[in-house]
Amino acid sequence: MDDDFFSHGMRGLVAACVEEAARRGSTVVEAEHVLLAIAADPDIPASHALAEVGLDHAGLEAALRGERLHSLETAGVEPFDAQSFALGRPTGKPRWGASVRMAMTRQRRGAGSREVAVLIGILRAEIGTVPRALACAGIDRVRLLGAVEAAV
Amino acid sequence: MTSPNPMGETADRLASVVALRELADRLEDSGVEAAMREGWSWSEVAEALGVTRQAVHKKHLTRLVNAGIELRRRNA
Repeated sequence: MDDDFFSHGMRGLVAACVEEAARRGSTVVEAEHVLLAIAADPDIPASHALAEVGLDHAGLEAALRGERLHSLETAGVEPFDAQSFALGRPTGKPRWGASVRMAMTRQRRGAGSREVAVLIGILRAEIGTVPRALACAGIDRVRLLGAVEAAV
Repeated sequence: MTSPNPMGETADRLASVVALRELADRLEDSGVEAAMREGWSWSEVAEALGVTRQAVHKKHLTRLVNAGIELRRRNA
């Protein structure tokens, strides 16, 4: 990656995030890919908070797909699942996207695990793909954030 | 001003830009892959996309090679 601000003691999670992005045809790792990687790993305590509101990996994927379809409809594009293309693995060096960089500035340090701190940073975003996907799935982001913050 | 509604009309318009960019990228990747499998030349793909041959070659070569697609010579 282009820097290591996210990787101290979190190499496994970083690799999983890159893989989630690559599966979606991108070398740019965004907040939704981090969220997917957290949700996929039951060994990460932060994933339990997501599971409690029904956000396992499959549920999160469905929410993200729903957000994209809704957004395309706004532009007058008929529902079309861009994820349905089977593509070769993207090439190029993975890098953090803007949404992850923003999440890192919002994370809560010094309480709980590093992964929980990152999760809090992601859930604090009020605008963008993740809050929209949560809204599309009928999940109260503020309540989820409160539950995660209260647990640490 | 209170925080904007993430599902409001303006947020929808901005999010549609993100979704369209993603869709365009995927359409390009899959379209170039299909063209090369059918034996199109780099020049033909570039002309169809309205970009230079060098640009399309630089952007897609490694991915197509990794996917095991037999490619025509770059200058073809």
